[in-house]
Amino acid sequence: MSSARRLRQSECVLSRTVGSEVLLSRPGHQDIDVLSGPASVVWHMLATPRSQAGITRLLGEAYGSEPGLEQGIRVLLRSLSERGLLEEIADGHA
Amino acid sequence: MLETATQRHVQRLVAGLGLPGTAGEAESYALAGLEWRRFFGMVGRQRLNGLALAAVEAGQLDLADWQLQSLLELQREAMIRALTLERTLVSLAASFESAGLDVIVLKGPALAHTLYPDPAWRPFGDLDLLVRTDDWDDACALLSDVGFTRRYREPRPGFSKRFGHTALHIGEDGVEVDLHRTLVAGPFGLWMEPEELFDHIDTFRLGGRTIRRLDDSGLFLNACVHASLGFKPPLLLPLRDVAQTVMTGDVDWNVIRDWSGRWRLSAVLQHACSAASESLDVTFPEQARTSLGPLPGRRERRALEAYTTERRSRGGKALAAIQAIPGWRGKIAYVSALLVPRREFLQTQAAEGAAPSYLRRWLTPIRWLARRS
Repeated sequence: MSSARRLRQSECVLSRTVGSEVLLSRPGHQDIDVLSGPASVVWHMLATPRSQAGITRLLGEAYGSEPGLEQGIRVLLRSLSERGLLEEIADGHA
Repeated sequence: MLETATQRHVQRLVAGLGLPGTAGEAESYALAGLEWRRFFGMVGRQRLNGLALAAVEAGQLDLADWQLQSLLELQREAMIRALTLERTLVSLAASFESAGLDVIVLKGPALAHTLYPDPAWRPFGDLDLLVRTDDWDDACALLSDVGFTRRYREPRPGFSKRFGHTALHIGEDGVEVDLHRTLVAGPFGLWMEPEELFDHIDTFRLGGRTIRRLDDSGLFLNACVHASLGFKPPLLLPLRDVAQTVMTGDVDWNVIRDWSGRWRLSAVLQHACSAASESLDVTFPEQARTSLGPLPGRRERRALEAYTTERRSRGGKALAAIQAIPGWRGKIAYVSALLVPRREFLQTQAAEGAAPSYLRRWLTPIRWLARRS
């Protein structure tokens, strides 16, 4: 996944925040995904379109740059995208 | 209701959290022992879990870790249910649109995603969908086609379209859909002209679809009807809905005054607003207090008592509905359908394992009459 691509929460996703967790559901699917900890923080960041690089930078500023941070975010974003929870924003769009 | 003044104060604080005109408090309340058990039980019964968690986040409630975990678990279950219902709503909205049938989602999801600051504050346990009376049969058929089963049969064919207000449908996964043709059972539902509600529509986005809801005036009306007539005594969450629509909605008070007069709802609106204002300790704006319609007449007050007094458990709504039905032919059709319904209706009403029985059915109004005399 290119770190310059911008992603955001898919409009089709239904969600609720409960404490530090985010519950996610998609029409046509029976399961409910639960994000907690850093994953829920990233999810909330993706309310507005962001690139992987942008998310890595923001998390690094907030929590300190740790080894594996970039890799972890890449894996998370890939997983969320594969589950249909994110949509890619074309350049020039909000 | 909670026992002590402190408990009642905390209940009011939670139920009214975040409403404009209510001041946050510097004090943070901690609850222990019996106080906590009663509070937690109340939160569950009144479905105030989202508001209670918000009160914790706002620093109004000081909970021990284990108390917070209990509240989070309650809220998690409620939100899983809400998401499951919303999944169904998005799917049904598509089905209704494909079939060319107008449908409006009432109450829970509409309020949660529009007037409440966070949808997690407003849980809901089922879906309430309003369709046009002329589309009633097609809507029931559509629900059947997509896997829902109607829970109760009609007393006689055509009863629901003529006199009824809802029909409960249950999905294969247990999801409950209340299909409405008017907003409430009994005389107030019969006095309404629900077709007019379709001229008061707004929308919101959910799951990538545009979902129709009542506009803020309609939401206020529905909230008042539900709060005043739905439960005796009124529950806190419906009262919160009333306050939420008054304080944050764009209600057209001229429309409310018109509906209140023509549909004989002033007693209901006044009852709901008075109960909400008192229970949540919030003062409504003057326009909300003066636009609820004329002083209710005797017939309207009596009809309200059929829902809000002991008459409710003694056939009050059914008897009041008879008075609201115009013409003797209609009244006779209503009474005869209830007294001598078809056997399929009795079968769905009978307790599990019990045989359907007209005699058992007739004993009910006889007991009502015995209690009245």
